[in-house]
Amino acid sequence: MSSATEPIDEILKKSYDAGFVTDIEQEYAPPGLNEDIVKFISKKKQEPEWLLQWRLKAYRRWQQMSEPRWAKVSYPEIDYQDICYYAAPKTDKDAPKSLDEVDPELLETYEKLGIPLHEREVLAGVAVDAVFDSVSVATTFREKLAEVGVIFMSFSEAVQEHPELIKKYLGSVVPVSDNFFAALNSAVFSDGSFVYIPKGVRCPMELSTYFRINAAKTGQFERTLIVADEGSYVSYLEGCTAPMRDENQLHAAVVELVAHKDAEIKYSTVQNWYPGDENGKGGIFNFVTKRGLCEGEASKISWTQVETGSAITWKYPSCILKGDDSIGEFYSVALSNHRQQADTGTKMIHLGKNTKSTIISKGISAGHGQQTYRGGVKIMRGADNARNYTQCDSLLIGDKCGAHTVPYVDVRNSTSKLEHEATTSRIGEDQLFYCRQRGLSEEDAVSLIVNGFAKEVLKELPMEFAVEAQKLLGVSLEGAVG
Amino acid sequence: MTDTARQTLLRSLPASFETGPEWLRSLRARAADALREQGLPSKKTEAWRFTPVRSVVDAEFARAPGDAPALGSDVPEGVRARSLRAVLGSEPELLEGRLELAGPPEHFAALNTALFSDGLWIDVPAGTVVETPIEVTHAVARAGVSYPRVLVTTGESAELTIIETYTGAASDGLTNSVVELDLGPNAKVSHVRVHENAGMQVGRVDVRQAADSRYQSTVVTLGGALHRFDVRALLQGKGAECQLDGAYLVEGEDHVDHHTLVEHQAPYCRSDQTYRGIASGKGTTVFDGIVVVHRDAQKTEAHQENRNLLLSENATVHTKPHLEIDADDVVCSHGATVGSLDDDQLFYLRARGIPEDLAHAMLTFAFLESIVDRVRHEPTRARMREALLARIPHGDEIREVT
Repeated sequence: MSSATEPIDEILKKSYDAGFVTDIEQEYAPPGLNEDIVKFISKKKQEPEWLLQWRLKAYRRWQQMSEPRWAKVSYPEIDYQDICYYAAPKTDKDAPKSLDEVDPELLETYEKLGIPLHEREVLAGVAVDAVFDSVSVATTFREKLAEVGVIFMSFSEAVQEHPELIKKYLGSVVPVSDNFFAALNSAVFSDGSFVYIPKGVRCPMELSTYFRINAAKTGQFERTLIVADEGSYVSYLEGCTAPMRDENQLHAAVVELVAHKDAEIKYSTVQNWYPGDENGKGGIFNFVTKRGLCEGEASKISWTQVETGSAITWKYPSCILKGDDSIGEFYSVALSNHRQQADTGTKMIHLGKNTKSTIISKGISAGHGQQTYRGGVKIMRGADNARNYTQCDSLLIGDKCGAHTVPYVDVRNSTSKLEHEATTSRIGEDQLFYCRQRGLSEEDAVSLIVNGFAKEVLKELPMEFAVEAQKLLGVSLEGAVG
Repeated sequence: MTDTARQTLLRSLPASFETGPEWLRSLRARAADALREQGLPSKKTEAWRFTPVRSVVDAEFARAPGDAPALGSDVPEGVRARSLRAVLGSEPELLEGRLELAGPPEHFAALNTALFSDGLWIDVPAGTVVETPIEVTHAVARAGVSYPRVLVTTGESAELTIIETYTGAASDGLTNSVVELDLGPNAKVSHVRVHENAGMQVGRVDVRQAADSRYQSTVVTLGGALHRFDVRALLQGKGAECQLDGAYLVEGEDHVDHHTLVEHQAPYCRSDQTYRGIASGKGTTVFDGIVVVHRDAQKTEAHQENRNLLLSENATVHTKPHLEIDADDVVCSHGATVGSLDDDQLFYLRARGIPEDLAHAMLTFAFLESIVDRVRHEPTRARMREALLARIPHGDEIREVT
């Protein structure tokens, strides 16, 4: 590498801004996993008997399953008996009902992360359901949402208040036995978010959760369930971050989306879990199952993700296009720097007639980063006139990183049409030259080009998130290119 | 797969190998050991998940007698073509280290390595340019399993065109072939394979390329109960080029499966893959192409394209173009499409008075012909075109109008 890239190398080494630990007394379950732990979690959350049985069923299935190893990632064996499956911040007996009741230290944590709840409340009009470790501590704007009939609450509250909805939809998209990590989550999930948008309602604001793993040696197993009834619309934002620690932490979430007739769900993620240090020490193992079901006619599910964190990412947000004329979308920017490994992509399963799907994936690898796009498009017999367009581009920065593209295509209908394109290259010398010649510094030129590379995806993010995502990519991307 | 099924083919493996030179005996023993350990692939083996291997391993095969490939034409001047058995008998040292070009064999190729009895060694000395193609025919005349083996070696700057035809009437036979090509520096080899619908076929081609060599492969596969072909090219010398093309069509309950692997191990190499397939009836086609770019293989240019026409309600197309890139100064791309015939093109032909079924046939033919057109050797190109026309409806009429 030339000397011109030296300042870039500096920025490459830029430290993790969100790496701080908040000291709040925690309530733990003892480490390890057995039926008693599952019962303990269920009891802690005062769950009904059917949910306990559901958890136990998942636990038993999980015991018979083995950890998937097909992804192009390598990591040390995970000791599932060494993880605490429940950690809740200790609060004054009852959960806080408003922001005023929230532990000030907690609020400070959010402040450092740049999601000031107050500010958001006022300025952005975002209702934030913040998940701090495993228990939801604050849900804002609930009342305003309740006026239009939107239910937005923590999963455990929903279990108490709307058991009929939870019972109907829980596990309907991601069954307990779907995969190893989904089964584990189903057994031990501690909390998460639940959203229900009633018929014909357009959710008046963007809904948002912010996840953060705080306690050492705790896994975070949250569960999100979003149901959009006929003709409704919702946009949901999810952000994730975690403090710096030497050991690896496990995060195995499950997200289920159900869109009924004419409904639309837009799900956006900015994932900035701690990626580990330069030498790959520490960092989050992010093994997530996300799936949406376009149940009704002309329904639409759109996933947008900006993945810059985690030591290991194993994540394939998918759409099952069951209703006729339904639409699935997947927009992704994934960045792996240092020793990060990301195996991510999507699955589009076309069942209904005239279903359409679009996949745009942009992967950027730098340092020793390894990046894999793994996608599947299935067009089944009955999916007449189905249409898929896939584009995955990879940008390589430095000669020690890797970019891999593994699409699976399976078509069984002769009236359907499918296109897949992928390219891999490094940043164009002539593009850089062009910018430099016009007086841009190398940094700015690189930033400009890389932003252009990811633009197609970034423009899909809701305004509230775009700023944060750009900030995140700004730090990681600008420095990552040379 | 049941244990008995898995054993059917493996049973034919001898416990030890008695004949031939020491290195060959040990090569065969290693292949047999690998097989005993891994067994034959099943649906759980990633590279074989879409291949219905069961039908192969479940069948009771006896070894077909006389399974050596035959020369289909006179040996052109400048080419040395000898029987592998004869060379192994008289001058085995000539072949040492040349029968395992792509590393330890696995699965069916290992079976071939352990069991082949004879084959062909085609050698072109350095500097020799052979204009006339050499033809090799693999005829499956009888039921049973055969293990044809061909080794092609070329010296520096040698040039050769080789045409292989797999043909025959036995529908319950299995041909398990291995073809190896070792290209010297600056050598040019054009390799044409035509797979007629001949029983079940599992074939493997391994190519090793030295600096500035050029390998062009064109495969035409015309249906088959189970046809599975793997082409692997190792670009080991700087500036080597490799072009892999394929045209295939399935109907009835055919299954045609093409796998390619191009490994860029040296800098400044280029590779280009273009496969086109047509699936009709209840047929299934599979394309699985991998491009691997090693860390040191900077300035690599690699392209991969798979286009498919899915023409019936019950046909299935699987495609998996796959890139694994560990160098940064590269230009790589792949593309895959699955669709049906273009309505505008059909309309154009119909508007000019061409009946619908003929218009269909013309467009289908044109789709595959573009692959054959990439063959440089004119007489070979014409022959491949004929082979396609013979299989496409209205072939005679198309021949007249084009």
